Amino acid sequence: MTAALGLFLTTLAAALALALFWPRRGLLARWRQTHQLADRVLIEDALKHIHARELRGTLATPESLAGKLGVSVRQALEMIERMEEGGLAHSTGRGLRLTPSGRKAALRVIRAHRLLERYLADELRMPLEEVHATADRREHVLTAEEVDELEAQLGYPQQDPHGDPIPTSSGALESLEATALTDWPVGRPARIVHLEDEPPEALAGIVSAGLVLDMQIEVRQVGKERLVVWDGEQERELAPVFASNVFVAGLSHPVQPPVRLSSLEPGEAGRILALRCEGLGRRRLLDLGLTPGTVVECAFPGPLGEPTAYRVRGALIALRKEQGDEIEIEPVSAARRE
Amino acid sequence: MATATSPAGGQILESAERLRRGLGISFRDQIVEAIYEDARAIATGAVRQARPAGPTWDAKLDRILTSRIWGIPIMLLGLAVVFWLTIVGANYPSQAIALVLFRIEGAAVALFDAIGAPWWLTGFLWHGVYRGLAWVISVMLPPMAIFFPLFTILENLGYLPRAAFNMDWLFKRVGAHGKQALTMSMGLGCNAAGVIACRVIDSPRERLIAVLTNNFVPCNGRFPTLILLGIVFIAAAFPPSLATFAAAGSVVAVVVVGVLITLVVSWILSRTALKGEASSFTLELPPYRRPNIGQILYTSLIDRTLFVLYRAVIMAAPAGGVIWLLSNVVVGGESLAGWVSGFLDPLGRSIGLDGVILLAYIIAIPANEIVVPTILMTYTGAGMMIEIDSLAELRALLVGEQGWTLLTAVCLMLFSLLHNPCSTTIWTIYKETGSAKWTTIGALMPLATAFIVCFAVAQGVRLLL
Amino acid sequence: MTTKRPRSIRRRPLPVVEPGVPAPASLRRLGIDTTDWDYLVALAGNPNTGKSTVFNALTGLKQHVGNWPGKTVARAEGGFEYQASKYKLVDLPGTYSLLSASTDEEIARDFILFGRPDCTIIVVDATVLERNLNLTLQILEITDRAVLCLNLMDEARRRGFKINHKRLQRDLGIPVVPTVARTAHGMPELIEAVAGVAGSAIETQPLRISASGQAARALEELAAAIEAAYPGLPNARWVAMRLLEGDKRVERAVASGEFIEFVEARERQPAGTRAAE
Ligand SMILES: Nc1nc2c(ncn2[C@@H]2O[C@H](COP(=O)(O)OP(=O)(O)OP(=O)(O)O)[C@@H](O)[C@H]2O)c(=O)[nH]1
Ligand SMILES: [Mg+2]
Repeated sequence: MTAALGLFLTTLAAALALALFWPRRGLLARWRQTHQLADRVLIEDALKHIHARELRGTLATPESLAGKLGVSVRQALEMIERMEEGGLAHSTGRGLRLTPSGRKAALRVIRAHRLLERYLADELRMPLEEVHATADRREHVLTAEEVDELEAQLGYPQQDPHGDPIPTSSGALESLEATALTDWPVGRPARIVHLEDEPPEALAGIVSAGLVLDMQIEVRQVGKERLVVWDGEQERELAPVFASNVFVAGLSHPVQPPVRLSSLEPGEAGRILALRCEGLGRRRLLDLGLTPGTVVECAFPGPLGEPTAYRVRGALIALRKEQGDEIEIEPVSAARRE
Repeated sequence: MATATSPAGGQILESAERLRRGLGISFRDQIVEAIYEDARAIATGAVRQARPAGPTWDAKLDRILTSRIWGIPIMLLGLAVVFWLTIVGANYPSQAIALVLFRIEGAAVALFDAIGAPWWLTGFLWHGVYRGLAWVISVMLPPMAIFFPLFTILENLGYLPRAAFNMDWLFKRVGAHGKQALTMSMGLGCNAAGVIACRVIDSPRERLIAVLTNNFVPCNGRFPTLILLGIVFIAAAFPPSLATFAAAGSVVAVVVVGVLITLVVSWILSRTALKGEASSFTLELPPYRRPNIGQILYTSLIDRTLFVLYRAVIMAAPAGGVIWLLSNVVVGGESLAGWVSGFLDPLGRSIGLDGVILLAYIIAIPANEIVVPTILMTYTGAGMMIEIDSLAELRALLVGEQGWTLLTAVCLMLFSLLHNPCSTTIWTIYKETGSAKWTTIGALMPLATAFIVCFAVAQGVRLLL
Repeated sequence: MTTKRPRSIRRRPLPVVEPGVPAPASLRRLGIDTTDWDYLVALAGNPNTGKSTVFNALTGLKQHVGNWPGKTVARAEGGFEYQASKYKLVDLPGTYSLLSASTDEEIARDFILFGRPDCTIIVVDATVLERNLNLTLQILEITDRAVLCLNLMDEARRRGFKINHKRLQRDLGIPVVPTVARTAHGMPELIEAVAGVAGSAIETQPLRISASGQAARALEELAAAIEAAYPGLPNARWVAMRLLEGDKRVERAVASGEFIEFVEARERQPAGTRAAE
């Protein structure tokens, strides 16, 4: 017994030593990397904050910076000094402004952030409320080449999963035309074009109310306590503080609830109108012949209710419910199916 | 962008970048749509439905094989039937081959003795190397030569994608990919092949999960061990008329446990090291096709025979030699095997096994096939002859002399199902992932799982009894 | 969208391969022996269309076949000899498209793109031709040395389809050979066509994808720029398409100019002399 114990302890000690000293991946190496990184992270976050303020038409102050980054005002002032030395920002009487090179640096981080969000949402299927925080952590470690690579891999998306435009590699950022839902007139059809990702609690509230990007809605009722919207099928309620984080644009036709492929029963068919997904999933569907205009017939569901087999251009293709939800169709009657 | 940019190349890339901006994500869509439009035009021109399609049994078969009630039971039943046929069919040829091979051993030993060869040469060559070879051939070859053609028939019929279709719901719940069921089916043949088959999974996270858990499907080299234990221990508890069914049932049960552990481990991986939700899943279900039975029998028989023989020669024969040396090199009044197994014994006992079994698993890292012969040779020691062709004698040795119980057999089956992958598989994991970290996890995680599960079972049963 | 009339398809005469050519007495299956080959031939196609079955029929090897998409995940090589020329045949994993996604598909894609085969046999499932033409048309953008193997003709017949393979051949501009790989029906004709294409006895005029709208304009503009920079480039349109897609590998090749060497090398080297390298 003692011998076995000895063996066990030796192995354990060896494993611990490995975990600690493994080059580049060991705890020790990680700790050193983290330390060097922390500095850059702070500066980049500061640049992002100044940029966001500029976009909103206000200017960042040492106090707002300290609040945003969770540091003391003295530390914030130190950072501002460093940014000025580096030619990234300068203080004016009313607050901080970015220099052209500072703006470029800020946009680079924003680009990495939004592409990462796209990647997390599309390829890793992370819930929408979580992508922002994860991307916040990873955006600082990517090189410009890696970001370009990621962009190509994702098929050059133009928006992040919240609807924000993604800056190009040359630093161009499109502006978004949108109105907050709280300012939108009652009864006028609209499409959700942007969901603000901060604070995360608000986004979680919006998501749990069932509002998603690209949804067609109409405001039914505005009250102090709640705001009621109609999505063509049901009413959804939202606290006004959350609603101010939802941005919409006008719609030229009345609200129509989309019909999803997943709603078809065996034997029913539909014609594909649009694919509501991006990245790898979208590529896969297109490659399998699920292009807009294609007629798809629901064949049979799996024994556990999922996935479902569909007949597409003569072949049987099984899709999970999530994929079915991402495909918008118009129902086709059996007679017109050709 | 790149290091040495040619001026013309740079210009082209610039205009590509500019044009791409104007198109955004829709370029790919437009191209794919254009291609499909052409494809449709061409196909419509060339293909004509000359007469109505003949009766399609595809749809009818699908209705049964993927039905809500029958889908899963049919899967299990199919597996059970395949194992039952394997067990029943392999019994006689196994004994016949063993008889012939051990007669050759006897004759050869007699010859060596007659010409006065030294005892260690006779022992090493015939009781070591040859016996390892003979065991693997007689015990491994017949079940594999029956199992594989049967499995290939199912594969050529088009059943595997249906099995994946039926199981996808489970894999989705644990954050994995439905095609993992396909890679597991390949793992039945050989875990290294199963690991390579994981290439069909296009999401890196889910592919890694499939790679790391493939080992939980018992492969080629482990099946015969499971079947043997099923026959000697589980079936013995049933009346003779039911014995083969009980043995087949016990093997199916082991496979089901393997699937459950796969699901649990996949779930844990999806929540920890490989965090993420299930990604997109698309699977084409091909039409059923009549298997070309004659050809399948021929090719898969040849294929399996060569595979088993090859592994027997390069893995089992040397291992036989090593075992013989371990049990015959005596240091301080005890053979090397005795020392090592004595050292491992407490650990082995705590998980329902013993030191000899653990020793066998260490020697069997290159090839799982030789676990049972190693155990037997170590038990029987130096020159002692046993006729392994008789199951009754095997039972007498294990139960009578070594004190195995049903618990030992169950723990050994579980350990055999869950323990670390063989060296070929580990190497394949390294080649497929290109990462020392994941290879280490792929090797040690199953071992830890095996120890935990066997420990829990052994201690649990001992507490209850 | 699908109701739009397709643009007219270019029709050029092509030596028609008549089915029923006597079995080539000069075919010799070489198994795994691929030494001293004269021509390199790739087997590409959608998953589960019978590529490995064709491979086995031609080389005499026993590649695993199975009725599910994704059976082959690594490339396999074998050889055969026909009319005193040696052919190296490469069986590739099935792929739905060349806009690759999974590892096995990448293997197939890279070989068709960068392996420089003298002939690519595109194996398609005759029962779902439309689906399979997606990949076929993509391959024809890259290479004009291709033969279409219209496989699973027995199943197509059983389902009541009648396929006009001569019309298909005219439309696609490459030889089309109906086969039943499982019973080796059509293999002689297939070899004949492959030998013709690889040895340049058959001139092919592959159909090119007809994009429309904004994508087409961008494609034409870029292709023109590429052609202006590198006159005589055979597949400028394909390069343009890859660049618009953002294919990093092609981008690197264009940026470094290595790409142009790649194309020139191909032009310089008449097929059949490469084995001497
Ligand atoms: N009826 C019929 N079946 C065929 C024919 N050719 C191939 N098959 C069957 O089709 C199935 C697929 O064949 P494979 O050769 O494995 O297909 P593959 O294209 O190599 O498939 P992947 O490697 O998965 O891409 C097998 O079950 C073959 O037996 C044919 O001409 N007629
Ligand atoms: Mg194949």
